[in-house]
Amino acid sequence: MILSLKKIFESFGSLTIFYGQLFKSFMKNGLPKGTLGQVGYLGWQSLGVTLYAGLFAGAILAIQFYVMLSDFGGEAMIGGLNTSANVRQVAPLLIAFLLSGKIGAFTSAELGTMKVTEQIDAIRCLGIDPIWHVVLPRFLGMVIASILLLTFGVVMSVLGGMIASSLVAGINPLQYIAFIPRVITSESLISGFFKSSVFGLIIGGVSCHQGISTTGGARGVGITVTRSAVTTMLLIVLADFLTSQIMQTALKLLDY
Amino acid sequence: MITFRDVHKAFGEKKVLAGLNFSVHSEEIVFLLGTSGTGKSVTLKHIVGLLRPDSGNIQIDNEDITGYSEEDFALIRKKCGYVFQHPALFDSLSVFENVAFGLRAHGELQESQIQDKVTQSLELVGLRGINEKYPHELSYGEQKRVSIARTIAPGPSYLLFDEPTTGLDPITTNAVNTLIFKLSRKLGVTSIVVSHDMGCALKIADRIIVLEAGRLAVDGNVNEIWSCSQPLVKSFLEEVRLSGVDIKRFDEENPHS
Amino acid sequence: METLIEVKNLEFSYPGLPLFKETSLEIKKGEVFVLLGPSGSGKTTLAKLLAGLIQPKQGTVLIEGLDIFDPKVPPLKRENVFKKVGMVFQKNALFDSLNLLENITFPQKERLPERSQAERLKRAQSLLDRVGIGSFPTLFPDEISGGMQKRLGIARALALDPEILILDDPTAGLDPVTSRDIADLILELQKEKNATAFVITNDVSRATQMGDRVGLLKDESILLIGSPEEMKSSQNPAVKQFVEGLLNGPFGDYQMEVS
Repeated sequence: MILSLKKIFESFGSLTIFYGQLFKSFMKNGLPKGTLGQVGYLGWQSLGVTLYAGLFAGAILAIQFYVMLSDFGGEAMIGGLNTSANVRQVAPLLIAFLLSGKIGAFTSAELGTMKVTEQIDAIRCLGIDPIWHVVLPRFLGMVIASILLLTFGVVMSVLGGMIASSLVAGINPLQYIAFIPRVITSESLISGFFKSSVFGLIIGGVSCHQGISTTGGARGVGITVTRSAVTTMLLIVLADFLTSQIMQTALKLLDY
Repeated sequence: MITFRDVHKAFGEKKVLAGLNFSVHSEEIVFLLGTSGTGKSVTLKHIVGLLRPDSGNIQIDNEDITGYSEEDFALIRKKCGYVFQHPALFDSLSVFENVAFGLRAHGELQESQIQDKVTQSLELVGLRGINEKYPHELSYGEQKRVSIARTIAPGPSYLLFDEPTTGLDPITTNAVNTLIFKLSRKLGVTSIVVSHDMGCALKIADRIIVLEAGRLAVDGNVNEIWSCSQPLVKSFLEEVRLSGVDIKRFDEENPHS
Repeated sequence: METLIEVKNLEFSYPGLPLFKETSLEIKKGEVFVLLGPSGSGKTTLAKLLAGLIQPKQGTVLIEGLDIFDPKVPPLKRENVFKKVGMVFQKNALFDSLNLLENITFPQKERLPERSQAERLKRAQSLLDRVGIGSFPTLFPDEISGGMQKRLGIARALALDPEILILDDPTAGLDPVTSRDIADLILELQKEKNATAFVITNDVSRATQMGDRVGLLKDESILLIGSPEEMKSSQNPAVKQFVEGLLNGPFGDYQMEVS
């Protein structure tokens, strides 16, 4: 796959402009009707998969850590270590990937289909701003739902790790939990929240942008969905790295 | 009144409008005819700002809309209702909500007023009792009529139809054509119909404009068209003749309606 | 003339939408049979049934005497019959990711592997030339106009030298002039190959232009009308309503009272 640098810059520029449009629309007209509905709808349909992914992420890592820790008798630390790894890195990334498909690709397909069947043009012709009425509720819905789901997923990963440790390694759940506050401080919670917000903005922004720029009929929608999911995931990985660096530097400066 | 003066539009290498000049007067029914790809739909889209001209000038009711932005077009779109070729109904909304969509969003009307307007609009297109249905439960013809109801509900003074009968069977074609005629007369609006059906045009149009190669080729009333010797017009008329359908002007056909 | 395609007592419905009930039809070898009907009456579904793309609830479809839905028929025998069928779809269904030439070489490669690459290319180019789009074989379907896309669809249907052509609304959405040209092209090709054609349309002018025999889809079965002349002079109220586009009749009454 040869991606010309120019094209990458152009799409990035176009995405940035799109975020600007959304922001402008929100500042001008406020919260659109249907935003909460979108949060509920998207959140509800992803609850199951998030639960599943969170539990298993936590469980898998726990077992991995157990194997490593038992080599030097450090099993007791498993609660703290696993939770730290999950809260910070694994669970948010995994669940964000999941959501980029579940709600991201879904919304991009929905908007893409509306675009190619001229529904978006019909809305414009009725003198209504499609950005505020159709796109913004979905964008905000996805951002808020993502933050809530990511938080939920991380909590589930802690639970998953605890259950796995107890079943596989016979670690007492209370012991598992006891270690957690040692590694999870308010800074890691802030960091986690910041990361979830960034991920949410990416999932929401990329999928809406791809959806609304769809051209070319049914095939175009297919291209949109793929591009939406892939672009979201790539940006999430990049953002993951950048947010970690930013948080590290910021906290060092604040002397945590 | 809508006027196009020397309008040019190209899509990349492809020149679609090459100096288009024409005007449409109040309360007329005008048909824009031409072969596929001659820019008929493109012309219509310029009126509501879905496309912008490369050069030239467009005026609506003495207002120059040529350089208008998306926001500026909001008022124009209230005045000029656009009916798309394919119904473009909102799948997740009921028929009632689809028709009410344009009314609700502006927030100026009371719910009871909206109810009245929606009922009125649906009755005008010959539909009753389907408020709660969803688009996928309707036949294609019914969907077309709901999309027309949605466009007329806000009370525009111009109605723009993009190939309203293309691909339809003869019965539905006649029904839609009849509807366009009756709505135009009843509501006193100006209608511009993009089509390649000369038969429909001959039945209901006040004036027929034929486009060729992105320009105006012929502009005349029905009598003038019948006796026109321009090759494209002649080939369209020949098709009408071969189809064997009786072309009766609408007013004569149904005196009691 | 011998019967090439025979449909007996076909029954098919979508959930909540009955389409065919005891539908029967015989198409003779070498004839052009045109089926008319209102939008949504199931014409495309019938085309798909004839092409073996979907299965009926009941009834049989025989092509050259072979029951195409009989599971006991050996696959090779079935395949040989289907190789003779070329279908033009309503929405073209062109291969978007292949260029014009490849759209025609691809089916040959898949179904007639014995043909050499050189032979395939030669045939493909000659078909593109024949339908009038031979000067830009490397363009892609989304780069050509609607009328040209229809021509490509026709060329592709001919790629395997079919003896049977099923054409679903081949002139839908085209202006009358182009529409007539495409119909002429189809007739020329049909005569050249001595093929049998089943054409679905709701355009009465095309039916007149193309049909040896015409039928009308009404009440979940096919009403056989006869020749185009018989269609035009028919006193059958359903035929009359359809041909003349009347607002009242067996196909329904359209209230156009604008109150």
